[in-house]
Parts: sequence; C-alpha cells; structure tokens
Amino acid sequence: MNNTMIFYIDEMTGPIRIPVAPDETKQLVLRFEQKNQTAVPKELSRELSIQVGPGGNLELCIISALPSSVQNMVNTSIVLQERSSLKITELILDEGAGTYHTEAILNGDEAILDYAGAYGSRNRTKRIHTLEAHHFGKNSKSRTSLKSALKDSAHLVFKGLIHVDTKATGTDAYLSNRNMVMNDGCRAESLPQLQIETDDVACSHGSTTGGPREEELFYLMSRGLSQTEAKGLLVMGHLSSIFNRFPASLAEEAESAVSSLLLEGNGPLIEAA
Amino acid sequence: MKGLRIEHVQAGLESKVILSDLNLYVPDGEVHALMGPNGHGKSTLANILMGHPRYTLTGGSITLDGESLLDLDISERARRGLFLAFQYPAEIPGVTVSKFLKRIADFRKDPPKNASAFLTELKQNLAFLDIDPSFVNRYLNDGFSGGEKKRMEILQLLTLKPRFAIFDETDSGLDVDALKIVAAGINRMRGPGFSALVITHYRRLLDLVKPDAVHILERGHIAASGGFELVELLEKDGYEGIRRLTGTAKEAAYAS
Amino acid sequence: MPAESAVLQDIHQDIKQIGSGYEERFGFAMPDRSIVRTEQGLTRETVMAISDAKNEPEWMRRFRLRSLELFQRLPMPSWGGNLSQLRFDDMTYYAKPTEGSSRSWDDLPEEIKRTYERLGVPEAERKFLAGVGAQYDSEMVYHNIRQDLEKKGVLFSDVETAVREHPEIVKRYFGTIVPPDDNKFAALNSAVWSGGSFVYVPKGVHVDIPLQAYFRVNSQAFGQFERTLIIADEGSFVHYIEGCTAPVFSKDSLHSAVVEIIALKNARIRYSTVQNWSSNMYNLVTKRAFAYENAVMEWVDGNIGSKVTMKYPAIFLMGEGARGEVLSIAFAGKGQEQDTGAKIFHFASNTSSVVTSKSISKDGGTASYRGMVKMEAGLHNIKSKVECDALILDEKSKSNTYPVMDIRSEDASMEHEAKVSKISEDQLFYLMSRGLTEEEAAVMIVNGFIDPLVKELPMEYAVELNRLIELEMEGSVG
Repeated sequence: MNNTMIFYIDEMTGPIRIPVAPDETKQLVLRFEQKNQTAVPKELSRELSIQVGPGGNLELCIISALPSSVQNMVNTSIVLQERSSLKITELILDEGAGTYHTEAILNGDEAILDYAGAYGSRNRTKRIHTLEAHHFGKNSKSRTSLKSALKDSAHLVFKGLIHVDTKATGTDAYLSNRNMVMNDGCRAESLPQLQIETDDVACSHGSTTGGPREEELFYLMSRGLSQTEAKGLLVMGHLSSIFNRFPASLAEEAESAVSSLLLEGNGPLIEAA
Repeated sequence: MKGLRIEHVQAGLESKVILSDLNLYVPDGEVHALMGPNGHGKSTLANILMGHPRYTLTGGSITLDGESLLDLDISERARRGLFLAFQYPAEIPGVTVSKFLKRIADFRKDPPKNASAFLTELKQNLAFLDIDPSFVNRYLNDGFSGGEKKRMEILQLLTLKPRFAIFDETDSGLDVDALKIVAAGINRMRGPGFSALVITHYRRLLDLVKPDAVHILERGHIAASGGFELVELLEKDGYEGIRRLTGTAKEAAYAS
Repeated sequence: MPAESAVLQDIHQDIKQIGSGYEERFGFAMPDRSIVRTEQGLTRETVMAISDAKNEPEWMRRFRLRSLELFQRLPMPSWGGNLSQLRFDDMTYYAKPTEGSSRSWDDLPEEIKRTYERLGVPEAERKFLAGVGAQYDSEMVYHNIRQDLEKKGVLFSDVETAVREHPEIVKRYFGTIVPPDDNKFAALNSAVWSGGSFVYVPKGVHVDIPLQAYFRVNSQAFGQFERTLIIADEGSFVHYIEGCTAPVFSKDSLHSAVVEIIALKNARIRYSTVQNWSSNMYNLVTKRAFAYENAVMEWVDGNIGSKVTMKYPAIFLMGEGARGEVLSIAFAGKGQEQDTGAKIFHFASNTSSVVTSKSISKDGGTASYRGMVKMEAGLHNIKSKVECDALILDEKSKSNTYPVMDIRSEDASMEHEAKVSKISEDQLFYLMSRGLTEEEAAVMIVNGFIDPLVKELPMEYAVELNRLIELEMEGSVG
C-alpha cells in the first residue's frame, strides 16, 4: 500500500516528521510542489525528519521538480534504531539553486540504510548535495548510490561521508557516486569521504565522472541512432536503476520528467535500452 | 593407530550445534569420500579439522597418527602434516606464488635442500599439473578463475606433502580437463604415510579417485558408511535413497 | 560479522610495536660541531644572516625577504595534521658545520664519516649511485659527481652552488613551480631554505643510475629547509631518490622542504622518497611537478616516520600527451599522523593520471588520504584513475579518505575507488593453514599490501623498506 503525500513548499509550517513505530512497516511517497507558481525568486526551505524505531521498516520515495525561481534549502535527518531499515529513493530535478543536506545516523545495532538518489540538472543550475552516514551501532549496513546527469552549464557538487565510530564494529558500508556529464561546460564535483575509527569493518566508496562512453555511443550510432538520440539513451540508461525503485505508476512519471529535463525536445523517449 | 581418527565430536558455529556425535576413521594409506546434503556439516567438519577460530568444538577428540590435534593452533596443525584444499581459497595480493611456495616448502619434514632443488621440484609439479610456468609470478590467487584456484590448491598439496588432506568440494565448477588434473594430483600422493578425505556431491571426481570407503554425513553425524555402491545409489535415488537404505527415511520426514 | 577471536586478539598485541627500536637502529646523535649558527627564532636578521653566510646574489636575498613577509602574513592551514605544538620562535634556522664542499669521501670530517658509515652510504655509493649529496645540519658537505655525468653535461650540485654558477637556469625556474605565496610553509622555506639538490639534465640525456641524497638533522629543535630543483630538458630521463633519517630528540623538530620539478617536452622524471623521520618530527613538504608535452612525471612516496607528515605530491599536466603517476604508501603507528595523498591537475588534452595510495594504521595511528583531481573545461580525452586502500590493524587506529574530484569536461573519465578494511580473517586462516604463524601471516599480508610500491623502488630501497615494515610488524627490537 503506497501513501502519497504532497507538500507545498511555499506553505510549509514546520518540519515534516515521519516516525515509524517499533516493528511497524510503512511505505510512503513524498512529492514536493509549489502551490503558487511565480517567477519571483524565493528561498524556500524544507525539513524532513525520519525516525525509525527498533525493528521498523520504511520505504520512502521522494520526487521534487521545482522551477528555477525556487532556491532550495533542504535538510533531511534520519535516525535508525536497532534492526530497523530504511529504503529511500529520491529524484531531484529542481531547476533552482540549492543545498541539500542529508544526515543519517545508524544508531542501533544491525540497522540498514539503502539510499539511492538520482539528480538531473541543466541550464545554469548549481546544487550542492551532501550525504552523511554515521555508523554508531554494531553490524550495521549502509549502501548509498548517488547518480547524476548534467547538461548545459549545470554545476553539481556531491559530498558524501561514511563515518564509522570506534564502537561500530562489523560495519559494512559502501558509497557510490556516478556522474554523467553531457557536454563541455558542465561541472561535476565529487567529494566522497571516509572517516573510519575501528578496524573490524568493510567500508569502501567509488566515484566515476565523465561523459557517455565512446564505445557505447559508437555501438548505438552504428545501429542508426543519431548522436543526440544515442546520448539520450545512455543518459536514461544511466539513471534507470532508480526508476525500478519507484512504485509502478510513479516510475513512468519519473522517467518522463527526467527525459523532458535532460533530452532535447519534450516527452518520453523510445524505450530506454 | 595410524590415520585420522574422529571420535564423538560435537561442534558448531557460535551457539548453533552442527556436528553431534560424529565418528570417522580414515586409516593410513586410504582415501575416503564424504558426501551429504548442503548445510548438514561437511564444511563445518573441514573447518573444525583445520582449527578455524570461528568454529567451536564442545566434545570429542581428533587425533592424527595417535596425536591429538585439539590443543594445536592452525599453523601447528599444518606443520604436523594436515592440509585443507579450500573450496574458496583466499586471495593474497602482492605475494607471488613462487615466493609463497618456497616459504611453505620449508615447513616440510624434508624441505628442499636449496633454492635450485626447490625450483626443480616446482618445475616438475607445474608440468605434472599442466600449469603454465608464468603462473608463479602472479599474485597468489589474485584474479584467478575458479579452476586456476583449485589447481593452485593441488600445487600446494604437492609442495607441502602432508600426512592428511581434506578436499572441500575441490571439484565444484571444474571442467573435465581440470578435474583430471586434480584427480591426478590426489592419486599421486596416495600411498603409505598419506590419507585423505574427499568432500563432494558428485561422482565425477570419485570415478577418477576411487575411494576406499564412502560416508554420508547428514544432520551432523555419519548416517551411512560403505563402498562405492553408496555413490551409485546416491546418483540414482538421491539422499532419499540413502535414507531408505539406512531406515532413517521416516526420521528425516519428521525433522524440520 | 563474527566477534574477534582470542587468537586474533593476541596477534594484535604482538604487532603493536611501531616506533620501538628506533633509538637502537637510528637514534644516535653526534656531538654538535656547528660553526655558524643563527639565534633562535625567525626575524629579518636571521634571514639576512643566512643569505650573507651563503654569499648570495642580491636577487636571492630579496626573494628571501619577500618570502619572510609572506610567511608572517599567511595563516596556518585549517585542515590536515595536528600542528598545534609547533613553536616557530623556539627553533634555530641555520647552522653550517664545515667550510666548503668535499669531493671525496676521505676528505670528510671523521664524525660525519662515522655517521654516514652507520647509515651505509659508502657501500651504496660503490654499488650504484651516481653521486651523493649528504646533508649535515642543512649544508651540502659532501658532494661527488661521477665523471660521465659531467661529460654528459648533467648538473648535480647543492642549490647554493647552482645559484652562484648557473644563475640563468636557476632564476628561470626557482620559485615558479611552488611560489612563496602558495602556502605558509612554502613561504617559510622560501625565506630560510638551505641545501637541497639542484639537477639539470640536458636534452636527450638519459641518466641511468638513480641520483640520491642523504641528509640528517642533528641539532636540538632544528628546522630542516632544503629546497630541491630538478629540470629535465626535452627528451631526457632522470630518477632521483630522497631518503632520510634523523636521531630522536626531546624538543620538536620541523622539516619543511620544497621540491620543484619541471619535465619539459618528452622528458621523464621519477622522484622516489622513503621517509623515516624520528617520531618527534613535523614533516611538512610541498612537492610539485609540471609535465609538458608528452612528458611523464612519477612520484613514488613512502612515509614511515615522523610525528606529523603533510605531503601531497602534485602534478600539473600542462602539455598534450603528458602523463602523471603517484604511488604512495603511509604507515602510521603509535602517536603518528600521516596526512598524505596527491594532487593532479589536467590542463591539456590527451593527458592521463594514475594515483595509487596504500596506508596502514596501527596502535592508535591515523593515516589520511587527501587528494585532488581537477580537469579543466574544453579538454579532450583525459583520464584519471585513483585507488586508495587502507588497512587498519586494531580498533584504536584510524583511517580517513578525503578526495576531491572536479570535472569540467565531457570527453573525460574520472574513476576513484577507496577501501578500508582490516587484515581479513580468511587470509589469515588460509596462510596459517599452510604452516605460518599468525604473526608471520600478518607480515606476509602487509608486505603483499605494499608490494606495488616496493616493486618500483631500486633494490636497496626496496630491501630497506621491506625490512622496516617487517621489523615493525615482527615486534622485535633492533
């Protein structure tokens, strides 16, 4: 059962709280929209506070595609108690500038965090995304995947931190950041960090940034696609893993939103490879 | 008294008991096969024999040629002549095969007299096992395919010349040619002063390494022992067939 | 993950011996024989005294004074190792032990000869060194250049001599790769630099044997500020090795060096360092190389000693086809902070870079990787690969990774991977099952871990490094 909640960012009165009781399972979709569309630039902030009790499970999807007049200040805080799990998927296509800060604290033993984010950006948009995963409990696990596609003169900064406290033995953490730059003039910055204070861990991160791969472009073009179409296919393919995490109805809309932001012309592309 | 004797062994992992009242005797000079369904204790037995720190022995005794193994740590057991061919051998980057083999060859009771004696021996083993000589410059198991790793285990077997060897599903994932090489390596060691336990699911390897006895390990103890006919029965009727034979079919039906 | 077994806990006790045995192996101090020595603290007078003692031309003297002003103005870094106990006013910035420079080993003062004999210099020179510049209290006392190097036109001397004898070359490059305003410690070095090697390799010349320099710090609370300048002209090749050791002192010592390297078109330079400073030493070094068209620059950096090291060998890929590689290992033991890494800047198309960093921390030590890869906009076919691997040997130690990647070109590919782990139980069990004790297995694994770097060092250094690691790991003393 998927509950969808729509939040109007120009009418927010306080932080959005999402508590999950012990042993409770919840599924939620959050959409951020603007009630009164205006061209006047406005700095609007939103705060999300997620608390998952022992043994609780939360599956959360977030979609945000706000216009360029909105300057975003976003703060998300997550606390996971023992044996709880959070599967969070976020698609951010906001066109205004912004800083997005997410801090996840794996407080209890055996907590699990599964975070997947997809970020698209064009024109002159500058956004800074920070994600911190702090492991304090034992035998906890975090998997963080941040994928982006940039075009025009967009500028995205990804700061990721995996911090393992000296008591958090048995931590298994992995952070991955994959950025696809679609033309010269974009700028992708990646700062994945590790701060490890104990030995009994398996922690790693990987980051790749670059344009669509030459061999792949060549392959698609050799089948008749134009360079533009080929690039478009590769970009959609790059971000497609996130669409699978959305509930079916939302997945289609998400794909369509991405394709209209990043590909020439509007509307969904032919089936992504 | 020569050979490996396992008596009334009870052992497990953390709080879970996996082996209970396990008895097994492999006399000197013999090669026995150990078969059984997954999760019933075959790997546990292999690890307990070698002394893996994560597994605990809560009862029973294990002796090799009359000497107890239980108060010896892993490396001491190895130096006494125990060898385990791993199902998933660990990768040790930065340590070349040749450097490693030279080091462990020195643990033998009759180590190679000097570097050239070692090299002669190594060359012979490589040729026998059909391993490309360039292998020795590669890092131990690093980036090796499954088959290459298994061949490396047999190469170490021939280098260490142990008294007792356990082969933990050494045949899994091997093609026909690789299987022949592994069997040739095991058979080469066969003779007085050497005995072995071959853990496997399949008869392919056992057709090449004819075991002197076959044991079935089920639910933590030896459910049946016999000759090669057990292998043929297993192939025809599966473990159910073995249970019917030993009258434990009903027992298994009530077990979880 | 399973709890640590008692067996493995024992091994961690055995391994906790980094830094011990240092005094027996290297911690000897010779009686102080300095003849000229400046007052403690850093003032204009100190800087002028240094310049006077070296008989420097006016341009260098002015360069020093300008740098002093910058040093006084620039702030301390707000990141990196813990420098809170550095006291600039308590240090002596210059001491000159003998007059002139010797050409042969036999001409050296007895004490200094004995020091270097203990460090193994004569043997090394016999074997494969081209020339040795030995540093004693910040002056190049001993210097020997082989005939065929001279014949080829290779210049290898201390920097002071180069300032006097080859001012056109020195003026052209000195301070251009690492300008004094780059950071506070570069400014400090620019003001009080003394000693260091100057190497110029003419077009097309290949120097087959590694050039090497030994130096020691031998005064209480003494700062070491050598400055090295290496220029490889078009199509040439040179390998320079820097290695040093210092006695143990009770007051803090500072080593703040600057290394400037220029690899002109089609040239190749490799600069290898094995650093084993004593455990009270602050080792803050700025090392930077410019690689021009089709040039290759390789930094091989081994950091074993010191209390705090902050060192990020940098390569600026300035011309098309240039290539840069950094191979770095750091060993952080009790009370040590190794803050090391690499900085690569892609300013031209068709350039590639590889950074491999391996660190080991034990007994409460902290090893941090700090790196940067920047790719400018509008470039084509640029590739970079960074790999950081860290081993933490016990629950007291720490490992940090702080990479920064800034990519502005589409036809670019940047890959970065980092991993932190302890010695795997599976590896230990596997090796022990073949007869090695836990300790032997751990030594083998750690030596295997650093093998990619050790392989790149000339044999003597490789042996010294392997032996160092083995000694630290084996828990034996002396």
